[in-house]
Amino acid sequence: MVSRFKDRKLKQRWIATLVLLLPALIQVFPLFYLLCVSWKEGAEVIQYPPKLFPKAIQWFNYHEALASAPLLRFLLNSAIVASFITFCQLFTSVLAAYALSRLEFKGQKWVMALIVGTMMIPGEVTIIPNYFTLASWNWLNTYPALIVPFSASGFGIFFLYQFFKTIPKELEEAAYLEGCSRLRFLFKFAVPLSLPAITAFGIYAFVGAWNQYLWPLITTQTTQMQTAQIGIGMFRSQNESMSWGVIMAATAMLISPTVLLFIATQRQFVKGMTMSGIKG
Amino acid sequence: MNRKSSALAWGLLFPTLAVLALFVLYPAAQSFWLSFQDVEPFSKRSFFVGFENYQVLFNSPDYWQTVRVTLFFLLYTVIPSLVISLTVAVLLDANPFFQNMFRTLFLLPVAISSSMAAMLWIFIYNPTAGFLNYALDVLGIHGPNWLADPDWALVAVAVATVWKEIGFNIIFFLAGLTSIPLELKEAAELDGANSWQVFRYVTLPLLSPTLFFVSVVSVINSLQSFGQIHILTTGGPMGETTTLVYNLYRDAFVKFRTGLASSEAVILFGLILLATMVQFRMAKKRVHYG
Repeated sequence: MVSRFKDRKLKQRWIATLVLLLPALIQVFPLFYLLCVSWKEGAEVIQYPPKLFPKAIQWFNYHEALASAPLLRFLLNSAIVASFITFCQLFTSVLAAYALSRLEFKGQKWVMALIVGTMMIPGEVTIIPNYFTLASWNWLNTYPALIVPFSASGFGIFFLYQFFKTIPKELEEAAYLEGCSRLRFLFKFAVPLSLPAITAFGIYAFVGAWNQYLWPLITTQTTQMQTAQIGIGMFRSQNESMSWGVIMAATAMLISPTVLLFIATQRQFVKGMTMSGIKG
Repeated sequence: MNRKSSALAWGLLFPTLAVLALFVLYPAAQSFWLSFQDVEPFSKRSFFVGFENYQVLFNSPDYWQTVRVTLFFLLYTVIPSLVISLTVAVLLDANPFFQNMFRTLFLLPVAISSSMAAMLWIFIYNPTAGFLNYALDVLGIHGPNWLADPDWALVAVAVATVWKEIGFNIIFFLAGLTSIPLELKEAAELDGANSWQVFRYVTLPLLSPTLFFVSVVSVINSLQSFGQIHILTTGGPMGETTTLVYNLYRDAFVKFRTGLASSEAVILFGLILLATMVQFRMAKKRVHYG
């Protein structure tokens, strides 16, 4: 009985492995193809019948891509914007979540309801008035335009609120008896105790900010201010005559930082995503 | 002490409330207000026109086409991505060989934005030099010009979208699957249930909260798709990939029809709310919380 059970487990493992092969190949193919095309020279890209593999791994497309658009600037812009948004969201959310979960004041329930309510409003509803607001401040095409509107997050507050709530009241009271102030308690105890949750939300916020498309599309006007997501679209439409090899090389360079970061931090990344998803 | 605590609380809340009031609540209210206005593109002068913007939309065949395109896009993206990601997650959970390698491969698109995903697919779809039509040629099928063919463009955009989305879904399905106690499945197996029966009567009911969460998020994401459409088709050919959000973008920021675009935003808001509510309603009957 037991050995039959084991046989069945082994059979299951084999079936699972074999069935996964095809979808895994499909899933990895676009990335693999991207690299292959980026290593081909102009004539090789458009020859028919096409060959999957390039003649040799060559980097001239990468040099040409770097020479024809400020790709590193795009990445720098994305990094600046995503880091600031993440930092601001963490900062404002920690403070607000602490006030809502550990302090007592009049109107607390209303404020909480209001903040949770903002989670229901999709970005498309606010985008037109926000554009006019920033235009009237002469903020278009600046970093603050890309950062400030996203410097608070209803979701972040709601998420951290639930973790701050689990900190035992006794710990807080003991700290106050020792003469610890409320703010000190927040940064000395509440934040370190909730670090996994704060990291999880930080990852979530960073990914969301890095991947933004519509807002940077309408608020950036010069190449120097474009983020990676916007830059790649412009790169393609402005270089229609350029070899696909160069365009794919540009894509490969703009995609690689996040892909490598993901591979390096996969475990924390996955944990962060599931934590923010399940609690939210 | 209490008054001090209250002052501190408002102080801590101030940055959040200021940002949310200025960039979420005020513009949301402003969008409602603008949806009843006709705004002149350059002078920005506006006139109250009542429901005229909504009437224009509901009487416009073009707008109904964007509604149809959006619904088909929802159908082409949400169902395939749920089915594929659930299947892959179950297989990954069945302890295959090279489990870690497989998992990295399937989750990788999470690190790729929708516009970058579109860039990965755009050359695959190229009618003459792309790999897809070459592969079809080898099989004796003459492939269409995917992104320029009104019958195929939406499907092509949907495939790239599903490719990108399933990594995200798999993360949640895997988390849900690993939280199901192994003893439950083993008990069912010892009672003589086959793999399908174990999946259908043990795994699936216990996974239903995750399934519910993932489908709500998928529907919302699909309704808000933008980057991949902008890169792959810019809404064409013949409007066959112009979704509600893409149309809103064009009316607001290409044609500068602020009032009309605002009423589109209000309708989109209503639709997202409605879709979420319908799913919550359905979940009440079907989802089992352990």
